Amino acid sequence: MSFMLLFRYFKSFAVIKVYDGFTERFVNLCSRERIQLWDVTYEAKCIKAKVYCKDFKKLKAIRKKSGTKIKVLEKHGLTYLYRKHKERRFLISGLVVSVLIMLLLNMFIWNIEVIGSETLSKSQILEVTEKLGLKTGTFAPFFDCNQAGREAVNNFDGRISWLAINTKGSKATVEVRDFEKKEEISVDKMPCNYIADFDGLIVDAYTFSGVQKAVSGSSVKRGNLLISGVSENEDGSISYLHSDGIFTAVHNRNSEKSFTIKKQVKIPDEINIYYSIYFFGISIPLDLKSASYNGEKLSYTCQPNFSGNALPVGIKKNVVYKFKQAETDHKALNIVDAFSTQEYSQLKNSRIITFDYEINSTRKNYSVTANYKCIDFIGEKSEIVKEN
Amino acid sequence: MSKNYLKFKNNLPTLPNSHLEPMIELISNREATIEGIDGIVEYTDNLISINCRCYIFNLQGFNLSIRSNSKDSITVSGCITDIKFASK
Repeated sequence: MSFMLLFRYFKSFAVIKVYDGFTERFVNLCSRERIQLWDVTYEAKCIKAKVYCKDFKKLKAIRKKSGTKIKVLEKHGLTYLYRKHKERRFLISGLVVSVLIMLLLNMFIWNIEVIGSETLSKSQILEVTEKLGLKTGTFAPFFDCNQAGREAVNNFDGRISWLAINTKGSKATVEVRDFEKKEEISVDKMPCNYIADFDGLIVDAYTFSGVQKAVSGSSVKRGNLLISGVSENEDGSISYLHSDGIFTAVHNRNSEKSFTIKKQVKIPDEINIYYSIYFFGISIPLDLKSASYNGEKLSYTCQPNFSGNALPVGIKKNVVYKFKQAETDHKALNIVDAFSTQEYSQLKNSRIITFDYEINSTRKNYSVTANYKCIDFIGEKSEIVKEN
Repeated sequence: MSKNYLKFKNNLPTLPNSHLEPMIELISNREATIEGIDGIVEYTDNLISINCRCYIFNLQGFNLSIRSNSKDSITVSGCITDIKFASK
């Protein structure tokens, strides 16, 4: 039924009123001339019926023969709609073309988002995906996401474990998982002793296997036995064990480092700034001299945002730096900062109780001396040498 | 459709109507389809008279409307209260 209504609407029909004369003859002549009339009703001495737009033109002769008068009450259909809005045809066609363009542009990728990576920067990841075909302006139906995701993992030299590219509309999301190196668990079962690797006062002592020789509160020197791997059995025989445990000890630690006063730095010699218009992946510079600027370039794109999606138009600010080498002096604060960074890598597993440091300077160098009192893990494994 | 096709379609030989006996199909008292007609004799809100060659077929009721009609068939819908066959 609804299909019939749609069909009739596309074909266009009119509701007519037939009055005066012989209305029955009118209906008979219509059926004889193969003019389709439907929904014929009788109202107040006249007939209302629906007739197709094409057949309406043939009613003139029938009207004369039957002596009736015809009045058009309503017009429905695409033909009448077009006639009514004929003068606005360019507006309508423009709307249709704009919708088609929008649908076409939606098939391109204009926005790429990178999520999940903590070690690699967005630009590094996008550089690789660009080589595989994913960049602003890529035609999405021709881009194989699965294949590109599989190939991209090989281009990162093992720094990522998994990469997936998903496209939704005009937005592509690149999900990355960094590679996590797992610590290997050694299953070393060689018989060994556990000895102290520096002088100190034992704070905590936990023995997992072996015979404990040092207790909490005892002082030990470098090389002293903490856990013995030699165990005497009840029957007098000797067993050799793999000693293992956790010992912590308080000790004093000294550190001295020197830094040169003068340092080589790169300072900007020439800075050039120019703007360009960013339009659907194309960058149009507004400065004609931009091609002549040499140096390292940094670009910042300002794109308007619509419900979390960046639109593919905006303004790009390009800054071109030209550097030169220069010599400058270290400041004391920089020296302390550099010293702390180096010490952190050695002391990150220690608990520092007290510390003090001293900075001395000469004409050419800064020297930093630091004294710590800290609690560290003490002990290392030493293989048992059996005498035959 | 092309003019030649329409010309061919219209010139196809058809059986003369006198060989077709009228056939009436009633769906409750709501709809009646009559085949083998010659034309409509009278049409008002309460009465439709149809010429069926040998006799005249009268349908009485109210809100009677012609749903569709062609050269030799007609479909009447509405509330039919009375059916009569009258001689010519």
